[in-house]
Amino acid sequence: MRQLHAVDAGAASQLISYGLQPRLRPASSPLYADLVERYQGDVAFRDLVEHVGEGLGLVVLDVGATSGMTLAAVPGSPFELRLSDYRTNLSADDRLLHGLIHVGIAAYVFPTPASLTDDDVRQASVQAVEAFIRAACLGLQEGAGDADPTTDQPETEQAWRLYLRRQATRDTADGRVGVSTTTGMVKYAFERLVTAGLASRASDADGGTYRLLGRYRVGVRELAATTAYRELLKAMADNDTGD
Amino acid sequence: MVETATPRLPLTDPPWVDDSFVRRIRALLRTSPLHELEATKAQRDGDWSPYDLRALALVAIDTVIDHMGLELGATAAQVRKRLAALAQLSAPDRPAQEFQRVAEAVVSGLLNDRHRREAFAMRYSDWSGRAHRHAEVAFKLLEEVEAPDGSIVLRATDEAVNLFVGALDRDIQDAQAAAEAILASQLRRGRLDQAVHTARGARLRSIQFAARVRRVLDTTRHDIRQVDWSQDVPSLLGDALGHLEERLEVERHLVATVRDIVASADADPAAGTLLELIEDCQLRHLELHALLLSARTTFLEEQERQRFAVSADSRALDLGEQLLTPLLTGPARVARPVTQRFLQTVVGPTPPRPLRLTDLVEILFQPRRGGEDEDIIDDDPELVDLGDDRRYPRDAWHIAEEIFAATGVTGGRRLSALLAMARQRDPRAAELVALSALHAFAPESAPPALEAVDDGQALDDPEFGGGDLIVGPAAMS
Repeated sequence: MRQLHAVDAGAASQLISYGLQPRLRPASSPLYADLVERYQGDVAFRDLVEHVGEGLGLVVLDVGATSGMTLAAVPGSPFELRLSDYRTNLSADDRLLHGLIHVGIAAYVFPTPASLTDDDVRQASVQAVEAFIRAACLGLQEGAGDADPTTDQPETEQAWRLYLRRQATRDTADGRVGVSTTTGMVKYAFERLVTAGLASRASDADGGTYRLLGRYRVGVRELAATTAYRELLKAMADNDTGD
Repeated sequence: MVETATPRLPLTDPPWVDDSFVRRIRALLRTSPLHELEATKAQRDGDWSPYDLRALALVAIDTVIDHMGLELGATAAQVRKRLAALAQLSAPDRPAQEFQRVAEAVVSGLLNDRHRREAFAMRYSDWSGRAHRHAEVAFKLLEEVEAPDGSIVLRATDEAVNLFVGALDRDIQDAQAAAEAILASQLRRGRLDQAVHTARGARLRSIQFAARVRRVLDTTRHDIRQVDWSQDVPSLLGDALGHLEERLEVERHLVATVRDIVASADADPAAGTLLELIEDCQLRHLELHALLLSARTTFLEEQERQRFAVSADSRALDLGEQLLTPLLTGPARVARPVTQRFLQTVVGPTPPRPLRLTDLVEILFQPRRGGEDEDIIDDDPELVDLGDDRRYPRDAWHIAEEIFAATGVTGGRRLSALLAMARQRDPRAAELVALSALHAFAPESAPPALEAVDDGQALDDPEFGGGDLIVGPAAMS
């Protein structure tokens, strides 16, 4: 392996810095393109980049010529998204619904395990995703076969009941979508993905139609889905012993 | 002896079918999304009988293929535009909006938007194993992909290229050979325009081939366990290498033929294009060759590097079944932390923003944000055509132009002098002169026709401040 120097640490940090600007692409910056190529071809440099990332609480999920570098923040990292940065003044229920909606978007966009490893751009509309999650909830309601038992213990209430209690849309005077409706929340989620460079707007059809970019798929596949799944298993185990 | 239910008909062939049958039925099925588009058009809103959706779909695929490999690729909007224009020719009296909808339906149908862009899946009967079994063919026709510049373009899959450019009975794997066979035959028949088209196809094959190998190497770099280096990859690399040698041989031959055509007296201009294309094809094959040679090294390096890598969970998660449903079923206290982590991970790292005074001031001066019920969808801005947006009247422009034109004769003049001249005739012209001089001093875009030099002397003017520039025609210094 080649000997690395201080200047290489600068280059590695530069690459991480590009990765933190998700709307930048290697095609628009020759230096970025060079660094991506170097990352791909030089094992020692790649290790350096990954260690620099690790020090900052960042995991390198992918580095490619088209999307550039895709990073994720580990819990506790200064780069971790805070929920208050996602949206201010969220109630506990809102937090859960916003999170569920993000899982719902991913499940809608990637219907099969194989679709997580394709490389095409998928598309989804606000209305389709809302209807998809609602249908899943209605299916569970039917399976449960009971009327909504009012509970005074919100922490044990099933999430689907919470979702169904929230209206999909509410007629406002000027025909817009209320933000506290599930449709408004789905719309907000997509808009956040656009801001984060993970999606782009395709059209206004069906409440807003969005294309999900390669970075989004990488994020879901490489980290978000597996982490959430692991935590789900753990949380369910804890819940069982806790009851 | 073959058992048969109809003994009076002496069957020379066994009743089961050969491999070619399977290949052909699969090829046939791959055209079915086009037929379905056409067959279901009656269910669409409005009378679509004048439009041939099947034909439009074929045009869409052709358009996509034409643009692949050469430039970035065709966007869905470009393809829709072409289809809408063709639809209009089919039914000139219909409203333009309908053509858009027809075009949209065709592109969306080929992408399989109705099934979330998953592969089309078709079942068929297969008797090739000397028994009946239900088999399935899954395929895509068009896909949207990201181009390096971030634009989203359409790509035809290997299956689509093969089916719609080549013939029906071809092995998908043998696409490259097919493309070149077509090319050679077109050359023989002197169909150069067509040959250029096919050469584009051949070049595209080269690009796709390299992409396939690159993908394997990328995956290897990422996680070596995702790739079967004991069997799959060596056989892919072996095939690729064999393929390459053959292709380089064929292309050498083609280049010689086309060179002859180019050299001939009445050479078709298309021949030059063709030659460039084939030469580029060769270049791409050589690149692929280099890639193949590096593959083994990549594998060994990665094997060494990833030996101690932490084991990741399988990527084969069904997000609906294994994540969404359990989260919906579980109690809120389980679902909340899990969904929150998902949200935080998926929305991505956010650089921390240290508080800066300017930000703080900006935040404080922001109009009050509403509560929960405020809407997130902004009105579309109303765009009004204001016509000519130059703010200065034509007269003022004339005066300023005359004054600057005069410096062409006299040489550079002081800005103060020019301002005085302008102000005498029209105060608005003075403003224009000042702005033009400023632009000449620090041009922002194209080089201006004027040039301004600051020699340090201050401008003494009631309206404007700064240096008393020396302004003259651009070639002044």
